[in-house]
Amino acid sequence: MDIHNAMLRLQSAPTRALDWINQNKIDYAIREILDPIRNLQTSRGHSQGFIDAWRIEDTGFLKMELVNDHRFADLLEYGWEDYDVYPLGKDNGGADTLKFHWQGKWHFSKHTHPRGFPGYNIIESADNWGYFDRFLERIIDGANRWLQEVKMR
Amino acid sequence: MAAGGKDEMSENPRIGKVLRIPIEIVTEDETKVEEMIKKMADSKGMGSGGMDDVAEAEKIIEQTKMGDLLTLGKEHIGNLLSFAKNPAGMMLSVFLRKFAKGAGALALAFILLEAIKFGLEYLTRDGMPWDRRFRRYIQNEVLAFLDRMIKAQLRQGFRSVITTTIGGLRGGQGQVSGNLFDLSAGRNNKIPFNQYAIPIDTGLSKGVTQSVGGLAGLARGNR
Repeated sequence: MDIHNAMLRLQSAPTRALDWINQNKIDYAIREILDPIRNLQTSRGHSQGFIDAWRIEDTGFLKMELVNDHRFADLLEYGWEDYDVYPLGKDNGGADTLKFHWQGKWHFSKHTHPRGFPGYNIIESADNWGYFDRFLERIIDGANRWLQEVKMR
Repeated sequence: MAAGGKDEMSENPRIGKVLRIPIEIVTEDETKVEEMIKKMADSKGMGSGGMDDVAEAEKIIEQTKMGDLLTLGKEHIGNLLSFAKNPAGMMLSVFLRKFAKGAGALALAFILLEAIKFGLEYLTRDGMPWDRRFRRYIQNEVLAFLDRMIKAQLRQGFRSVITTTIGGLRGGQGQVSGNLFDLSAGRNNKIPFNQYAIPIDTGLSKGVTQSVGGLAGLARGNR
């Protein structure tokens, strides 16, 4: 390869780097975002079904999505507040009393007040732990390393 | 859960909602990135005409975070050209340029010191020319130890030294020895024995070489 060809090759480096990043983004995301999130959740004793439901989807050039399609994904992630349950009442086509099974017994009540749940907030935790920043750092490092290897050929 | 036969949980709109967190790489200025992607899509195939587009895309990328990749590329172009003209001079200049200024000089000195340290460590490693263990002659040390051991055994009576005029019993004649040793040459016959043996002239029987046996003699069962 003569100098002219080498220069042409170097000029196309950014294009090829971005292509490389696009090809490798899923691998890097799994290594730097998905696996750490799973480990973090396992260490915190979160729901295994929720942990297993995480995946990465490719949504376009240099774009992707961190997806969790667990049935209660939204509730578990962001939590819910305390709420009240009242019977519908006979006038509205329901019953006047609530009947529910709790701790092995049937209970009857006019009103219940289930507690809320603060949520896993795992995305916030992942951001606080710097998983996303590290992903970007590592993939740019990887692209640089790949460029240096390719240039010397 | 309501008791009226109606499952209120199923009415919660948050149930079954898929969690989607979008991740985008290079999001500094979306218009620029889109422009760049368009240029890249146009220049696919790397034809000769496509290079201008790439150069334009390069300019856009320069203004984004990806500019780091480009500066690296430009440095390499310069290095390649100077390397082609004068390889040795280029290497030296690159080295000095990096290290000769300000704190760089200190770094250079530090690197030199590290190099010397590494060299010394390498030479004194196991099996290397300066390996200190090979400066000691283990053979001598073992012999000295055995000597001391035998002396101690003799002193305590666990081992005895037998002096005899029968050469065959002294050992030193090889593996086979005994009292059938050929003495035809006479009593003054010089009996060849181990070089390590220490000859002792007791003066009791003139002309007969006596020996405590020496280390090798004892080792061969000269008792």
